[in-house]
Amino acid sequence: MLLLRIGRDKTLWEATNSIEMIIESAFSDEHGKPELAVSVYQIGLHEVVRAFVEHAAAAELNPPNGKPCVDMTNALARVNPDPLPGPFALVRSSHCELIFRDATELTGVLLRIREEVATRLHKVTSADVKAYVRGQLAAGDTEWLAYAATHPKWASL
Amino acid sequence: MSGGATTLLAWMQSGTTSADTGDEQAIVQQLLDQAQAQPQATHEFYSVQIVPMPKPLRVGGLTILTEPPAEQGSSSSWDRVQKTELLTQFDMRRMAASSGRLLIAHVESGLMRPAQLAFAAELLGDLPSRAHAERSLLEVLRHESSLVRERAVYGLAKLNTSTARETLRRLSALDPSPGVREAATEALGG
Repeated sequence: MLLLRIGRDKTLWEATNSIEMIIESAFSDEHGKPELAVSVYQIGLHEVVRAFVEHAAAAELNPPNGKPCVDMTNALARVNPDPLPGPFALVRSSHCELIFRDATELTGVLLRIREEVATRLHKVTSADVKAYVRGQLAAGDTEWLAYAATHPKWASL
Repeated sequence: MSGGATTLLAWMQSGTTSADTGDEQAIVQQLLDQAQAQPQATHEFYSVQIVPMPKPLRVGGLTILTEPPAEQGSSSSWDRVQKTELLTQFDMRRMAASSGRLLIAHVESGLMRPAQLAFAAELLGDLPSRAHAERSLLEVLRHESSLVRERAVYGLAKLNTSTARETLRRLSALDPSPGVREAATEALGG
């Protein structure tokens, strides 16, 4: 199983970005406080694209371009199931929060992840997004048929 | 009195000088008008207040200070809009929602941390002053952090000017970061 953090940026884990910048950009709230309850999805490897796409759809976002997502599995943080509302069963059932004791523990885990990022990154492409949505609609997935009926940007992918 | 006007008046004191020029009077009037029209836009009041002025202005029995008095220099509200290192995403979003002048000033100060600059870069794409935002974004693209440049790509994509599109074409081919090249390519519809 993975603890998948949905990515927002393509370059976050590239070497030119310091760990301080990673924390401030992707693991802090809008007032600059480090997030000690990190939103992730506890899923299988085969569900990465589905989680990425349905996370965006459930949040009422436009269809996203591809982004790398990172597996945040670690031995320190506590996994707290945190079911989300919304039209997609995977989002409802697999969303969790990774609970860190403090900013030091968060930083330590992110440093470890950064060292291992080559094996922890799961890249989802824009083509993956389109293929998944089209496939679900073609297969008659009732969740997606209902969602597409009220979300034309997704229906026209 | 509105919350915004209260914030503004907190920086007024009794004084003896007068506004000498029409420009100075106009700035004072702008402050007062904004306080009444936009009670939530406190950042914009500050941005007007920090326009360099030779001396305090006396209007209607009150003096508007052009910088905070020393004993009030620790005001968190003032510090958060004046001192670049204290700016949060919340502050920058508020600045972008008004004219964005203060946000551009911070970006161009060269004092922002990379994470602040990355966040500000994307916001620049939403500003009404597109020419100024474009100039700032072109400068931001020189930053060594690929995340800063990626967010600048998103800012340029929102501006969608001819210069922005030409810059995106160049980045899609030449930026050293694969993520930035990919973001630029996608921004062009590729």
